[in-house]
Amino acid sequence: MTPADMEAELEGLHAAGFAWALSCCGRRREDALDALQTSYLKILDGRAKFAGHSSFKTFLFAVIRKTASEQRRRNALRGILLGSWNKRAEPAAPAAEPEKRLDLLKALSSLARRQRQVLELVFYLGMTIEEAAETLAISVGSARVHYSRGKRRLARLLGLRGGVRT
Amino acid sequence: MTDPDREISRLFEELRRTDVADAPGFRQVLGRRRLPHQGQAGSAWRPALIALGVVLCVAVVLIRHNADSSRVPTTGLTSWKAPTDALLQTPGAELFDSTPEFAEPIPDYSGLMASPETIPH
Repeated sequence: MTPADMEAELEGLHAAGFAWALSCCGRRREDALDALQTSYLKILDGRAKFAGHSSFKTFLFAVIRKTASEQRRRNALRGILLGSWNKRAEPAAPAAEPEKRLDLLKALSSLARRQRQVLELVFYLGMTIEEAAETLAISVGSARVHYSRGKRRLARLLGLRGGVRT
Repeated sequence: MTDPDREISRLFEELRRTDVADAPGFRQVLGRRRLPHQGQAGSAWRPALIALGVVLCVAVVLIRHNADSSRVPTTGLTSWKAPTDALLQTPGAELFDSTPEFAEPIPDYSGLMASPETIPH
C-alpha cells in the first residue's frame, strides 16, 4: 500500500476514527485529537505497519487504542510526578447535552472498560463482534461475553424493559 | 433485534452523529500543532527541570568541595617505595650484585719454570 493510498484510507475512516479516539480518551476532545494525530503519523511514517492480516479499519482502530492508552499512562505518570502543576482538563461539562445522551454516557462510564469498548465498537462504530475482538486484541469468545454482559447491564442502567438478546 | 437492542442502537447512533458532526477535518488533524494542554504540560515540566538542574549544580559543587578538602598529598607512582623495602636489605647482599676482585695482580711465576736441558735424566 503506497503512502497516498494509506492517506486516502485514513481520510475515509477519519470520522469513525475520531469517534473511536473520543471513546478511548474518556471523551476528552483534545486528548482524542492528540491520539488521532499521533496514530495517523505512526501509520504514515511506518512506525505502525499494516501487515494486511486484518482490515485497514481494525488496524487503524487498534493503533488508536494503543496510542490512547500510551497517552493515558504518560499523562498519569506526569500527574503523579508533577501533582497540581499539571491538572488535566476534565471532559467538557455535559450541562448542554440532551438528557438521553447524558444518560447513555453516564451508563457507559459505569460499565467495565472492556464491556464499554466492545459495546462502543459494535453499536457506536458498527463493527462485528469479531472485528471488535481483533481491534481489542482479545479472543472472540471473551468479546462475546463482554458484549452480552455489557449490553444487559447497559439496558438495566438505562431502564430499558424487555429481554435483551445476547 | 429486540426493543432494548433497538433503543441502545438508536442512542449510540445519536451519540455518534453528534460526535462526528463536531469532528475537525482530516487535514486539520494531521497538520495541527501540538495542543495548548501539551504546551501546559511542557511548561509544567519546566519548573521540575529547573529544580533538577539546581540540585545537580549544588551536588557537583559540594562533591568538589569535599574532594578538595579531603585530598591527601600523594607521591608519584615512579618515586613510590614500599615501606617494607628496608627488610630486604641484608648484610652482604651487595656481593650478589658485583664480580669479586683480587686485591693485587697475580704474581708472574713463569721464570721459575725449569727449561728442558736442565732437567736431569
